Amino acid sequence: MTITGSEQTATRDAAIAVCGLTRRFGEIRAVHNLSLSVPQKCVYAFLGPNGAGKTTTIRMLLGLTRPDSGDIRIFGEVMSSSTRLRLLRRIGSMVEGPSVYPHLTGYENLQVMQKLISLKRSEIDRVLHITRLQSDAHRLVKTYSQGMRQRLGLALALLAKPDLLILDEPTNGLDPAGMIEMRELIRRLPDEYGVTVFLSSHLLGEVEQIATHVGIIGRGQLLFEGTLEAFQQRSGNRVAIETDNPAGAVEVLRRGGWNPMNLGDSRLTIEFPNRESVANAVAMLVSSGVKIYQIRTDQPSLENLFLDLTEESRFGSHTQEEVLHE
Amino acid sequence: MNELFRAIRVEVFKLRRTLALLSSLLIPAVVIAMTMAVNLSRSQGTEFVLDHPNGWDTLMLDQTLVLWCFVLLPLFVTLEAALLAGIEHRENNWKHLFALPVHRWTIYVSKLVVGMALVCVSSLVLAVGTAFQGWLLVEFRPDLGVTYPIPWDLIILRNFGFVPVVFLLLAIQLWVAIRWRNFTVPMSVGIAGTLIGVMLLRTLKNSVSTPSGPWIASMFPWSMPYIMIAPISNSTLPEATAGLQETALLAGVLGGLLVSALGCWETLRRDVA
Repeated sequence: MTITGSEQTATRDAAIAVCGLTRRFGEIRAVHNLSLSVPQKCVYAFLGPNGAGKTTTIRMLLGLTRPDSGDIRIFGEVMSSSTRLRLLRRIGSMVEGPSVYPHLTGYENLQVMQKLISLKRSEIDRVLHITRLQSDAHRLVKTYSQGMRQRLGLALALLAKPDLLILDEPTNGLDPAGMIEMRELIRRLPDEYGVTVFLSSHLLGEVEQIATHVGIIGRGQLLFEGTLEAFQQRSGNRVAIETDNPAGAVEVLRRGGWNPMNLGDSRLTIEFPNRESVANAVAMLVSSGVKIYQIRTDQPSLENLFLDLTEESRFGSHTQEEVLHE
Repeated sequence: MNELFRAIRVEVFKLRRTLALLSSLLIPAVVIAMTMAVNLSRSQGTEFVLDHPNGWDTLMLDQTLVLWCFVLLPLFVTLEAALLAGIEHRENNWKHLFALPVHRWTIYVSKLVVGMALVCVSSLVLAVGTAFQGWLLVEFRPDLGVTYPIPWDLIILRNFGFVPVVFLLLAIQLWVAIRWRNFTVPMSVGIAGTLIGVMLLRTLKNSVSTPSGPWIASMFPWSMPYIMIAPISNSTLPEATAGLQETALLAGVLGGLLVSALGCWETLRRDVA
């Protein structure tokens, strides 16, 4: 694999840069030749259905699972046995739910980590404030709700003031109110604390309000990587028009160089290259005497795009060479 | 080294509100209470069978430490090791601990150190309990033959003399408890080991029919602690039991170091589930 100069710069600047990461469990290919680039100070949503390889990737990023091959760079430095501890000092994590001691209080749980990695005790109050757990800090964790446990998990991840936060399914098991609260917490982190957030989820809808970048994985392979806007643009500018004369409208639009599709029931859809074309087409239809009853965008939802991508991967129509980087 | 001390402190901290410290105080205290109840309720005029130089040794080697080393200590170590590992297994805290900027071996070694410390606490309770029981017997049952002064040197020697060989037992039980998340695995290993140990220790009195039995018992981790206090000189076949305590001590300490190193190495290189 040849890496160009600009790619090298991007790799050096990225909070996480993964190249050719592979891990098998027996016959099962959990992650295959995965490459990722997570820019600094963004919220990167790592998406994929259950069993796609998200958690295995995260475990490899944290050194909990050894890759069979491939490189992991954190802030430009290759993760190896000699650099692992130094790099982990810059990472906070919550993998597959919070790791807590239920027989201790929330404060004592934070003390365990504070004492272990020799942090100032004032850091505990700081993260309790961020996660709004001050009033419940001295209650035993076994009396906490799932949402409070998740927030405590986030507090543990933030305790050492990490530059990179890796969260595996942070809203798993939360009720809608808990999800909203967790999302708000995560959304604030890059701006207020300068943290890069890498979070995994199997639901796009859950993270599309907070993510700036998206990576989609299916069957251990990266299917898409880019900004959320780039992902949204993949749906194109499709418009649905309801008219009194669909056949006449199709003819007018074809004369204008477009390729409408008559769906019957007085409806047709057209894919436009840009918004200006939509205005031109409507003007042409109106001047040709075609009545327009309704006009609306007909974009597939992000969820559908996500499902399309991951379903395609399930049936094997993507190869690694076809990964979409936008 | 600082990192190891911090890990040990944290390990102790994590045992708050658990049964770990309580059991290391209560289980040996129950042994003392049981033997005390039996001794105080003996009919007047009975005397300890003094097959040891003094009544204090009889109290320890024929009563408290037999109960303790024969069965209770191996089970106690099994329980403590399962607890030290279970505290991390319960919410799968290994993945969090091992993703912290801390050497993994310090976590493993700190559990070993705390496990040994809990064994020492139980020995301390036995030692203080023995002195207390002896004092009660001198004061209230002088007919039993226990006399002043309280032999603190002997009490410490007897109650702590077997502790070094517990290292191997703890190293095995802790490795198993860390390796398998299911609590029943270390408990089954501990119970099975204790039962086999009991059978092996029976050969001390029948060394004529099973001459290699005592030697195997001195190398078997679950029977080693009893070997260290067993009245071997009274064996029916002294040559079959010669040097058993030295063998047990050597095997316990060196085996403990070896198994700890292997367990630590295996835990370090294994993927964290």
